[in-house]
Amino acid sequence: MGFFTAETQRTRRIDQRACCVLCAEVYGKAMKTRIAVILLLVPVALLAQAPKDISRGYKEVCDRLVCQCGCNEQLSVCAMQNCSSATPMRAEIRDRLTNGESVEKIVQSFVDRVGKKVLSAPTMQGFDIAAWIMPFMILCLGLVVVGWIVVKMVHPAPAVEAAPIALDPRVDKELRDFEEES
Amino acid sequence: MSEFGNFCLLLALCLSVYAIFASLIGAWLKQHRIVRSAEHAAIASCFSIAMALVSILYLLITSDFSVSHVANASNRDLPLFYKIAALWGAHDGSMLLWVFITSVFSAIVIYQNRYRFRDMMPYVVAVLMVDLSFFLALNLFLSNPFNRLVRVFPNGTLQAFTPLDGRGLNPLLQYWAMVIHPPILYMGFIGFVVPFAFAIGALATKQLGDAWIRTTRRWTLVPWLLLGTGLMLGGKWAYVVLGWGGYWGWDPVENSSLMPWLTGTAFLHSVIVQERKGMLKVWNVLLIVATYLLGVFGTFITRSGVVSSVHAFADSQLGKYFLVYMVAILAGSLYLMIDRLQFLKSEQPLDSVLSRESAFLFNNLLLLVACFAVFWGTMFPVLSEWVQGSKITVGPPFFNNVNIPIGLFLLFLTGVGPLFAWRKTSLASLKKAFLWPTILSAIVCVALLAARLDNFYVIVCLTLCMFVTVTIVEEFYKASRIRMKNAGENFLMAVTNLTLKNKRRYGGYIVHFAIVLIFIGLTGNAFNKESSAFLVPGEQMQIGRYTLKMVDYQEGDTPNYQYGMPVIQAYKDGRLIRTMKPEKRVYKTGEGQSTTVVSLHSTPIEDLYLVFAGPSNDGQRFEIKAHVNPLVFWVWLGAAVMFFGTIITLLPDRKGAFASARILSGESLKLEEPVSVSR
Repeated sequence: MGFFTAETQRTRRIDQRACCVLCAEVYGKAMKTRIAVILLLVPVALLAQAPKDISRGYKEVCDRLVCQCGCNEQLSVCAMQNCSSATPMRAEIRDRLTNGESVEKIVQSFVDRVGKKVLSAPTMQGFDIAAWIMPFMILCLGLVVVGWIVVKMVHPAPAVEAAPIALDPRVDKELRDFEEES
Repeated sequence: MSEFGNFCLLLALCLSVYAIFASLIGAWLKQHRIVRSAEHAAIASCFSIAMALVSILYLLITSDFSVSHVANASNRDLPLFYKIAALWGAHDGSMLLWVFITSVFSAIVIYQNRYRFRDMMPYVVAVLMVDLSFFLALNLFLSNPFNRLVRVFPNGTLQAFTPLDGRGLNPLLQYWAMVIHPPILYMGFIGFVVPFAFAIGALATKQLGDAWIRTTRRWTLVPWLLLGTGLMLGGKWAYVVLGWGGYWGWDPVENSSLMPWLTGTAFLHSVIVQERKGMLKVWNVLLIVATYLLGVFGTFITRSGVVSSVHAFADSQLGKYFLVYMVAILAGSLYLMIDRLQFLKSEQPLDSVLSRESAFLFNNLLLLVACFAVFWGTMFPVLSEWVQGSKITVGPPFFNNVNIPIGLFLLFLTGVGPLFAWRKTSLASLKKAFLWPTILSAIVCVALLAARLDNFYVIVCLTLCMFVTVTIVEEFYKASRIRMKNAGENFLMAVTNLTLKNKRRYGGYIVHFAIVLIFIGLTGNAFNKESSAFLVPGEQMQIGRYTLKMVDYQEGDTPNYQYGMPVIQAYKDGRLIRTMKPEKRVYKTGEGQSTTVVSLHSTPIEDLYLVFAGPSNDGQRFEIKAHVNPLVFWVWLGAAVMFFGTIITLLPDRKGAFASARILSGESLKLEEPVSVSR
C-alpha cells in the first residue's frame, strides 16, 4: 500500500470517529474536550493531505523562463505540442514545485544550467541594468528638455485668455470653421 | 512567364532610376518637360511592377513549381484564396508585394499633384523613386521571386528541377486575418514614405510652411490607420490561431510595427500645432523622418535575421544593405535639416506653459519615450551580445514593466490635453474643466478600492479611463447642447452634425475613446486564468465558474489537412452556455506541421478560450487547455471604434470648404446654426 493511500485511510478514520462522536452527547465532559481537539485536528490533517496549489508559482516560473526550442517565447506562451524544450522544462518545474522548492531556486537552477538567455527579462545586475534604466533616463531627460523648451518659448501675449468671448456666436462659429478648414 | 516577370522587374528598376535622375535634373535646369518625363517614368514603373505581380500570381495559380517561390510557398491542394496569399507567404514574393504597393502609392501621389506643388514635386518624385529603386534592386538581385529551382550534380553541372508538389503555405498563415494582415501592414509601413518625401521636398525647396503638412495629412492618417489595423489583425490572428491565450507577445517583429505607429501618432498630434501656430517645424520633420526610417527598420528586423522572431523571414543577406540605406537616408535628411534650419524657426512664441501646445509637446515626448523603450528592448539582446558576448532575452516582463507606466501617463494626457485651451488656459477655467472628470474618476477609484482590487496598475488605469471618458463626453455634450439650443436639433442630430462639421476634432475624440476601450481591455490581463487537463469523453474539468465536459471526440480529413476535435459542453454556474469544438490540424505538407484552431466563447465580461493541445502519448486521452481571459472583447471593440473614428477624420470637408469660401467672399453673416464653445 502506497503512502498516499495509507494517509488517506487514516484521515478517513479520524473523520468517521469525529462524526460519530458528534452524534452522541452521552460521553460527558472529557469526551467534549476530545471532540474539540479532534475538530481542531481534522482540518489540519485534511490540509496536510491536500495537494499543494502550485498554480501561482508554476505560472510565475513559466513567465520568467524562455523556451529553448528556438521559438524565443516564454514557457507560458510556447504552444507547440510535445515541444522538445518546453515540455520537459514544464514537467521539471511542476515536480520541483510539488517537492517544495521555491520559485527563485528553480529559476536560478535553470540559469545555472542554460545561462541568462533562459530568462525572459534582463536581470538587475551588471550591464543588464542598462536595459531597465535607459528608458526612464530618456524619459527624465526628455522631461527636462521639453520643460526647458516650453519655458524658453513662452512669451506671454497681451491677450489674457485664448478662447475669446464670442461677440457674436455666428462670427465665432464661422471663424472656428474657417480656422479648422483652411 | 518567369522570364517575363524578371523582365518587368528589370524594366521597372530602369524606369525608377531614370525617374530619380530626370526629376532632379529637371528641377535643377527648371525644365518642366524633363520633370514630366520623370513622373511618367514613375507611373510606367508602376505598370511594369503590376505586370510582374500578375506573372507571379499566374505562376502561383497554375502551380508552376519550377519557380522557387511557388515551390516554397504553395502546393497543389491549397485553396485558390491561399494560393494568392502565398504571394506574401515567403520572403521573395512579399518583397514584390512591397515594391508593388510602393509604386502604386507613388503613382497616386504623382497623379494627385500633377498640377500642384510643381517646385516641390521633382524632389518628392526623386525620394519616392529612391525608395522604390532600393527595394526593387533588392527584389531583383537578392530576393528574386522568379528564380528557378535547379539541381546541382556532384560534377558541378546544374539542371532545371521541378518538384511534383510544393512545400505549401505555412499552415499558421492559413487564416483569414493572416491573409489580409501582411498587405495591410505593408501599406501602413510604406504609406509613410509619402509624407517623408514631401518633408524632404519641402526642405529642398525651402517651402517649410504648413503646405506640405496639409497636403500629406491624409497620406499620414491612412498609413497610420492601416498600420494600426494591421497590428490589431495580427493580434487577432495570434489570439485565435497560436493558441497561447494572448494577443500581444512583444515579439521583435510585432515591436517593429508598433514603433512607426507610435512616432506616427506623435507626428499626427504635433502637425496640429504647426498648422495652428507655425511651431514645431524641426520637430515635425524629425518625426516623419523617424517614422519612415522605423518603417524601413521594421523591414530590416523582419528580413535580416538580426533578432530572432517567429514572424521573421529566415534570410540574413539583406541586413547590411538595409543598414547602409538607413544610414544614408538619415544622414541626408539631417544634412538638409541642418542646412535649412533658418527656415524652420517657429512663427509664434508659446503664450503659456498651461496651454494645449505644451500638452501636445508632452504627449509627443511620452510617445517617443514609449517608442524608444520598445526599440531599446528589441535591440538590447544584440547590444548585450556585443558588450557581454552573450545574448540575453528581453521579453514581455521587461516591456510590460517599462511601458505600462508610460502608457498610463499617455492615457492621462489623452484626458488632460483637450482640457487645455490653445495659447493659454487660466487656472479658473482649468478648475472648472477638471471638476467632473476628477469627481467621477475619484468615485471609480474608491469603488475599485472598496471592491478590494489589489492591482495598482488596474486601479490607476480604470480610474484614468473614466477620467478620459468624462472629458470626451463633456466635449460632445457641451457643443451638442449649444447646437440643440440654437439649431433646435435633438441630441443625436446635434452630435452627428457636430461631428460632421468638425470631423478632425470629433473624429479625434472618437479615436481617443477607442484608446480608452483598448486600455480597459488590457486591464483584463491582470485577471487571466488558465488550466489544462487530459480528458476522455464523459470527464470534465473546472476553470473559474466554468465546468467543461468532454462529450465526444471527432476526427476528419480534408485535402489540405487532417483534424482532431474534442466536443466540449461548457457550463457556467451549472447552466449549459455553449458546445465548443477546439481543433487541432495536422497539415499534409510542410513536414506535417500542426496548428490549433481555438474555440472561443466571447462576452463583454470575459472570453472562455479552449485549445485542443493534442492527444496524450498513448493516444487515449485528449489535452484541453482552457483560459478565461476577462475584457478581451473591449480590445477588439476599441480597434473597431478607432477604425471608425479615423475614417470620420478622413472624410472630405466639402461643406466646411464651402462655408470657408463664403466667409472669404463676405457672406458670413448669412450662415445659420451659430455654434460657439466657450473653451
